[in-house]
Amino acid sequence: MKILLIDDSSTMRKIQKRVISELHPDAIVLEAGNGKEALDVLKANNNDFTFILCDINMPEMNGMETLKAIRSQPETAKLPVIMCTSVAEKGQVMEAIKAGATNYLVKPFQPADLQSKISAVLNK
Amino acid sequence: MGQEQPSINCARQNSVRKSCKCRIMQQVLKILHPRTGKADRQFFYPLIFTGGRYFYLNKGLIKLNYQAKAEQCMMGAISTRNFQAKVRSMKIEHINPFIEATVTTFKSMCAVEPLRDGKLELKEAGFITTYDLLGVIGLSGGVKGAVLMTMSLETGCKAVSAFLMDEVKEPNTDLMDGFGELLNIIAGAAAAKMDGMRVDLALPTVVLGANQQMHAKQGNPWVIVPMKFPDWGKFNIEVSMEEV
Repeated sequence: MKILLIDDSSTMRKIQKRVISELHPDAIVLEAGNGKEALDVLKANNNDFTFILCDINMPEMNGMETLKAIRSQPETAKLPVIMCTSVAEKGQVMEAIKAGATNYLVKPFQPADLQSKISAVLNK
Repeated sequence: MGQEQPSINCARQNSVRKSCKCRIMQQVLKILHPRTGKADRQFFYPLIFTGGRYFYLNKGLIKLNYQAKAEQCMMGAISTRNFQAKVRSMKIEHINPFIEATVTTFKSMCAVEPLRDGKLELKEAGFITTYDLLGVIGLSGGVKGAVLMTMSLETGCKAVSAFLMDEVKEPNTDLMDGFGELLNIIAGAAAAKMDGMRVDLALPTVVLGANQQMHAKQGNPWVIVPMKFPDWGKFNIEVSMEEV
């Protein structure tokens, strides 16, 4: 299992990584600090990821732009993307779902919330 | 809190419903509680309704007890006119989401429940003293303004350590990043609680340094919410926001 974490906060990536490792100790977790970095990581790994966890509010290339870029490329269009963000306003959540988000997790979250979102995506 | 329960006696409310003065009264009701009109002691009551003042609006009596100390700009004989001006420039009911979001965020992410620590303060202009660690996020979209969180370095280290579940003893990337992320989560959660209004968040900026002072511009008042952690020390959430 290979997972890509996209978040400009290194602290949040550490927290997510810890929660994921509790659930899937063998998972390989790669990280990116914004959308541009994420697209580079995807390319460098031949888009071979089980799922992506993506923040929205990021510098350079935000989460919505990243999600649209992922969905627009045939090689990555079907990759599951969980948006994990502090953006919780209904309109913006709907916008993300319309843009192709597989699931949406609002911060603040409990570790169990993240684990259940991941399980839901893996069981699809 | 021991103060007198705010009360409203609006015998002539219906007859003056459409008047300008009654609109002021309705805004007061909204401040009491955005949905029910009842007093919300925990959040709104300390700001507006302690102390003791009476206002006569179109012969209907509204008894307002307000806190002169907290409302420094309103000290002395407050007029209904300047009260309305305050309400218009800074909607007090927009402060509650930030307080609720702060409590929720620290409970969920740090397993600690922060408490209110004294009365709200309103700073209309001039310098605001902050603690050593200061994070700020600009707000845009349906509003313009900013939200700020400030605490001592020691308190910040404890909060971020709990957030990260890894001890942070001194200023480093984890402290600055974690502090900004906590504020980002608070701002996002608060923005979601503002019904029907889109609030876009800028990226957080975190500053560390002793004896910092922030300048409040005339016309952009800041509401300062003193808070504390049960064992870690005090901190402030400060909000300056108006609808556009």
